[in-house]
Amino acid sequence: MTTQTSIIFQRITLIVFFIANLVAVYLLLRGHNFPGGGFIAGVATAVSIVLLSFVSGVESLSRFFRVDPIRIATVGLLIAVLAGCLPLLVGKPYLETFNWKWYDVPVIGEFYFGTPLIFDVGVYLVVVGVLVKIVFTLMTSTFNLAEVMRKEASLYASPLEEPIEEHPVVGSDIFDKEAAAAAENRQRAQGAGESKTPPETGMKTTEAPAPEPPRAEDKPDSEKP
Amino acid sequence: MGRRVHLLAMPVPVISCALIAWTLGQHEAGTQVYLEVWSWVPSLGLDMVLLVDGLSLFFGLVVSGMGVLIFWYAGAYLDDHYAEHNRFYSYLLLFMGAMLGTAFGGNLLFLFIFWELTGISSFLLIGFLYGTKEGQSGSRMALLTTVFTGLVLMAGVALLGLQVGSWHMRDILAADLGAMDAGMAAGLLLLFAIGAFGKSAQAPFHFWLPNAMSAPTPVSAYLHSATMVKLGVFLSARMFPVFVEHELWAPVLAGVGFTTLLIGSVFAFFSHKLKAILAYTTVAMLGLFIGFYGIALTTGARFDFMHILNHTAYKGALFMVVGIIDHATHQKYITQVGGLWRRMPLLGFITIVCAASMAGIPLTSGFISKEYLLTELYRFYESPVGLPGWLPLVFSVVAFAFMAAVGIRLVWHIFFRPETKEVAEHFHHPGLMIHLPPLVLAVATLTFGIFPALFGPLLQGLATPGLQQALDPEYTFKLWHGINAEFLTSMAILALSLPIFGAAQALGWRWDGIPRYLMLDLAFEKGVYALPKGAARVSQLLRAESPLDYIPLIAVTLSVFTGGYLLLHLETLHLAEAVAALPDTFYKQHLFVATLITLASFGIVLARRWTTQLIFLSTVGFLITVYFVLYQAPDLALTQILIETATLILILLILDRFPRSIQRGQRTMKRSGARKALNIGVSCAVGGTMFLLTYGAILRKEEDYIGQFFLDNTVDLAKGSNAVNTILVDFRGFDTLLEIAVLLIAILGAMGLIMRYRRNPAELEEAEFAAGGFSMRGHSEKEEK
Amino acid sequence: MFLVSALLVGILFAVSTYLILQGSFVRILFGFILIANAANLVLLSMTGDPRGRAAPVVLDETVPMADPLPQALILTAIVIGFAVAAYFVFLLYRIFLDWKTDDALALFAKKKPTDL
Repeated sequence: MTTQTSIIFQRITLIVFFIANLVAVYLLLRGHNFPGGGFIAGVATAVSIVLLSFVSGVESLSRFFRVDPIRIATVGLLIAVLAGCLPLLVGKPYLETFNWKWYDVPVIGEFYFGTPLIFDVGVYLVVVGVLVKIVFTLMTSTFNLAEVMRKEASLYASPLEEPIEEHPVVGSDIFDKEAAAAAENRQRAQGAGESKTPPETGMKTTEAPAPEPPRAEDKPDSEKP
Repeated sequence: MGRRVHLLAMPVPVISCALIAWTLGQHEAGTQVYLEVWSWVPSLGLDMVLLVDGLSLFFGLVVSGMGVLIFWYAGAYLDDHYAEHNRFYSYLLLFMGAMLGTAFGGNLLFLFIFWELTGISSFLLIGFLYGTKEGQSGSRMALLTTVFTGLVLMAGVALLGLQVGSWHMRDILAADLGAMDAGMAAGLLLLFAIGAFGKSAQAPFHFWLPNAMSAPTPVSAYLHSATMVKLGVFLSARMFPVFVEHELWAPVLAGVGFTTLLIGSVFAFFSHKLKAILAYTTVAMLGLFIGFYGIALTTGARFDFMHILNHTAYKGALFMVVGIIDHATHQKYITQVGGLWRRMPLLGFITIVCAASMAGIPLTSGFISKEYLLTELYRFYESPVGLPGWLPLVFSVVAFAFMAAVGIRLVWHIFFRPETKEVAEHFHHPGLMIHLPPLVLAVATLTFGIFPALFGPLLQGLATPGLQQALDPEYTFKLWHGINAEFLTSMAILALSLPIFGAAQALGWRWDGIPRYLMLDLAFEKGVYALPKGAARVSQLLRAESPLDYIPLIAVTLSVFTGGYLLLHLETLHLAEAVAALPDTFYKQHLFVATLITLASFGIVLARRWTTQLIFLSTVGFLITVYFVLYQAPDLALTQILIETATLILILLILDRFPRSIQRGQRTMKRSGARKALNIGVSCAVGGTMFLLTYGAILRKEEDYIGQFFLDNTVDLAKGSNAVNTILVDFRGFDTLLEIAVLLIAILGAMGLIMRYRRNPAELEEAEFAAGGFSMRGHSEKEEK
Repeated sequence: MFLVSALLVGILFAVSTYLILQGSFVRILFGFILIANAANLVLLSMTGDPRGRAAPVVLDETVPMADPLPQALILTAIVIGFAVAAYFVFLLYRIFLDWKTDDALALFAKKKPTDL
């Protein structure tokens, strides 16, 4: 996203980003005793990151963070599950909690730590990862879906995977003409095999039903982009 | 590993066979030993209890002993033409484990779990060649039949356990049916009987066993002749002490059993497919065993294990023989094979011995078994219980005659008639190894036939209390009992079989097997296919395939049932008083916010442009934040405001990409006035229902609500003062864990929607026609051009 | 007090049902988001009269406090509701990619893409 943004917006966004994240961490840490917690903090961080992406663009932000947000979410879930497993080590039931409180710690005074906090951090990470992933995917895919799919496929696709759906966009009264032309072109492209000759457009074939083209699954590989 | 994997699997049956034999040596005859292994689910009374007695040891020996032979046989039978040997042996071992679990089950629930496990592993094994149509339909049929009857059995197991108060076999076997309600006792008997009939392919469930023959031959020999189908017999024997004194026991078991005996043997005679012939004789013999328990004396059956053992030996061997013939000639029909004596004399010898045993010719164990069976039948003839005395005798004599004719046919057609051209074309010798297991069984048949006294110690060691009458230790089995009624009947059966065989021979066996409608399997298949059709009819009736009509249907149902009920009880809500008291309980901020939310929500409906609607929607969301604050829920207010922001961003992003004309709502199809009125009516009805429901729920708020527990304990137990957060991460932490998993799943699903989208090149060419922002081409690409 | 809350719930349900019964998928999405909010309000009104009660943060045991359980449930529901809404947004996106329409009526009147 390389939209022009005003310098004021950029500056304010940066400031808001840091403040929002400070607040988020504050909410996360005090969640056990005061309003706050993993969910709220996670949403706050996610919204601030999305705000930042409006300024710097999703691509540069992704480059900066390097990690795919969905991995953050996965790690979060893992942390939450493992935090639940901790009590098993001492023979307590799953998700049993332990809390410690020190009252006379230098500098910060009262200090609190408990396994619920670890769990909450997991929740926080899941919420952040999921929200950021949703918004980023939507932002980039509406501009360049092919690019998003390439990137995701390079990250996660199994080498055995094949696209399962591949069908023309036909059937809407709004785009019938164009879609029918597209279908006609596809038929021609199929007939011409791999040839790259641009198909003729403007064929009035709206009324003529296509003669039983193969189902989506049966198409030969040559057609795949 | 390939086919060598059977060497890895082989030790399992060998070891279990040795262990069971050792246990038998330790076992004191006529006692029942319970081994409490593990308390699995104590609250349900489901414990792992092993019951060691004669019956379980006998079935354990049959299962593991046949297992040894079958694993050996399978190693030779499944050559490199078959793929996935490891899968095959895994299933086979699973099956063997399940069988042993059933045989030794000392808790009825535990026994039932393994009972069903045998059904599942049998399904997997029948469908081992899942690529073939027979494999698919046969395995499905077997699964549906055995699982359906298994469910019936489960009802019986549950009811009996509830009546007795325990599922431990010690209590079950001591159950007194007489003390129960008469209908309950009869129902229990029928439920257990149906379970046994389904598993043992008794009429009218006899159709699944011949269809299950699509499995590889080792499976047919093991599951569908020697072990699994005998589970119905096993269940009859296991529950014998409980049910035998019931008046329905003899008519149900003997009636169904002997009918099946007759049907099976006649069907076997008229079949042409080798495996189907054996399958029907198996069905017939299973009917005989179940009927045998039906006509047994209430004091106990006699020599039942001998009959089962005899059948297991010769039928298992015959199945193996058929498998060898299939292997050697690739022929599956008896009409296509012939003249194999010259090529495989050893196989011919095995077949002659086993067929003779099936026909009951002297010097084979089948003869001994038949003599003792006829004794029982004559005893029942003289003192019938619940069934005409002649019926079992006549049915058996006719059936035995047909079965003897089948035996003659097998030997004569396969070995002694002129060689067919199919055999000449395809024959290749299968090797000696594959002959060994049937040979062992044939030799055993001969040995026990010539020296029947060997049965004595075996049966004495396996005596089961409650099931069998105690055998006199001095009793010896004899080959020759003199010329008595049994011997004469036996000879008459053989004499009768010759004209039957001769008549068929004269006719040239020219018929196309059994009529399909008598086999019932087609009717079953039709029923299976009719189910989804019926379901489709119902959903069509409910218009479930058209969501636009279905949603009003749901809404109307909700309004009519819930709203209607509330309207009928309107006076309990005291609405009039609440309205009258409204000025006193007036809460200004509250009413103000509610009014604003109402106005904004009407705005969503009235606005045409999506962006305007979205603004109104967000207004509602943010105003609800204030509502949360009024309700003393700071956590909710914080979350709501942030989530509302995220939702706004998300929807703005997607809406912005639609073409402007759609965004203005110009392309939405117009509804008719009637439809609009219906929509408004349905919405108002739902709104009214929810209003009454909510109001009624608020009125009924208890003073000591559940939440008080969390408030009281949040500091002590969870060491946190924010009760909402402690509920989330501590008290109900597991819910939260699953909830964040749902979050992750939702995004994965959303990604799937996007990722699985591909367009073809022609569409890429047409990208200009696509809606703004939805072009597959990135704008960077456009700039390059 | 109770009456106002219940009325508000009723109105929100009526409005969202009307939206869901519309043809446009975008309106259906809006209706879904609204119905999620309305359902949260049902739960919230179960906490009873909030007047004279404090937020469920236990600092002083003597103060009467609001019922925390519905609040915890709603907190979960808000987040889940958002996840489902996000899924719906992607579904909308996909429907438009495939059909070039956001109108359910037009879509169900059409043949399936594989039929063409």
